[in-house]
Amino acid sequence: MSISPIGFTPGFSSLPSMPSVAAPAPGGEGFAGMVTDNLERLQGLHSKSDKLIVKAATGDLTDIHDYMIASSQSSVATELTVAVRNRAVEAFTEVMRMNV
Amino acid sequence: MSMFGALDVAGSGMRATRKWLDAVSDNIANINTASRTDQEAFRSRMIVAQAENYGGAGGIRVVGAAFGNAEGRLVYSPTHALADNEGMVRMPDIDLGDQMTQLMIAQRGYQANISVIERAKDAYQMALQLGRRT
Amino acid sequence: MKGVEGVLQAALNGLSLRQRTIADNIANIETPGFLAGKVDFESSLRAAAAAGEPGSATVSVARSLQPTRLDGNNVNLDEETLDALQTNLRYELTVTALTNKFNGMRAAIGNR
Repeated sequence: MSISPIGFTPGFSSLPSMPSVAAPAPGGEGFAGMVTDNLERLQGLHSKSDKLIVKAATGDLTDIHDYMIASSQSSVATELTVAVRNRAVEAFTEVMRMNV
Repeated sequence: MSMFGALDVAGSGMRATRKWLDAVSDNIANINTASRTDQEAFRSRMIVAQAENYGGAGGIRVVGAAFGNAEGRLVYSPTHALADNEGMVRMPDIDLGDQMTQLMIAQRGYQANISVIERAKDAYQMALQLGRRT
Repeated sequence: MKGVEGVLQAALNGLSLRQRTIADNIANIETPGFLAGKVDFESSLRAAAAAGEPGSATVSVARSLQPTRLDGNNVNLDEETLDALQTNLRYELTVTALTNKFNGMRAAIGNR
């Protein structure tokens, strides 16, 4: 005996459809951009501080506070970058640890 | 070495006042140096200083020396070894009071330049502490 | 050491030789015929730093050609004292700079 297939699926057509997985949120793109900008700025601070101290070593720098300020700026920026990196790694590890 | 402008300028000030002190001490030492009447008297030495890099880096430079009166004073001293036929010798025209005043001014100037150097050194060392972790 | 650390190390070599030379000059302030020693490393270091080869910097000691006094000695105490002061300050600065460099590396590694 043949079994006729069910001709319709009652009620299922009115189920709301899941939203498709969105492209990465605009915030995500911003963070990556922020990190690269920060690294470039950090590199710039380091090279400025290096240039000044080489000038000072050859006796050509009249204002040593210029070097001291540049060196402090680059050291604080380095610490900030390292702190952000550490936090990001922590957050990533936290996420990976979640049971899906 | 132009590491710190104030140090260089105060250093040039010290050099100039030191030369001044040397000149004054030379004048005082020779205040009784007699010479024959047919020669010129011992001439007092005055240094000529000029501002260096005026409006720019600053400083002072001794550009030369000026010499005082060559005629001196004719003094009657017949027993003097250099006395001429009339017993006159030529003494330098140097006023001890004036030289002592110059000596005091030069010494104060020297000290003032030294304190500028001390303050400049302190400022430099403070700058080295900039950004130190507390 | 290469790079900036190399330049700073070469500067420290030059500055410490200058300190020794100044001490020598001051010790010999009454020695007849003694000409003051003057150390120059800045010109060589400038060229070496520009070429990126700090190891090629040289230090030279020359005898001063300043006019001598009656005993043939030309050491000027004022100048030597000022030079000593400047050299000490610059030495302090260079050591501070090297320390900062190493601390920066440590911070990047992540050690306090």
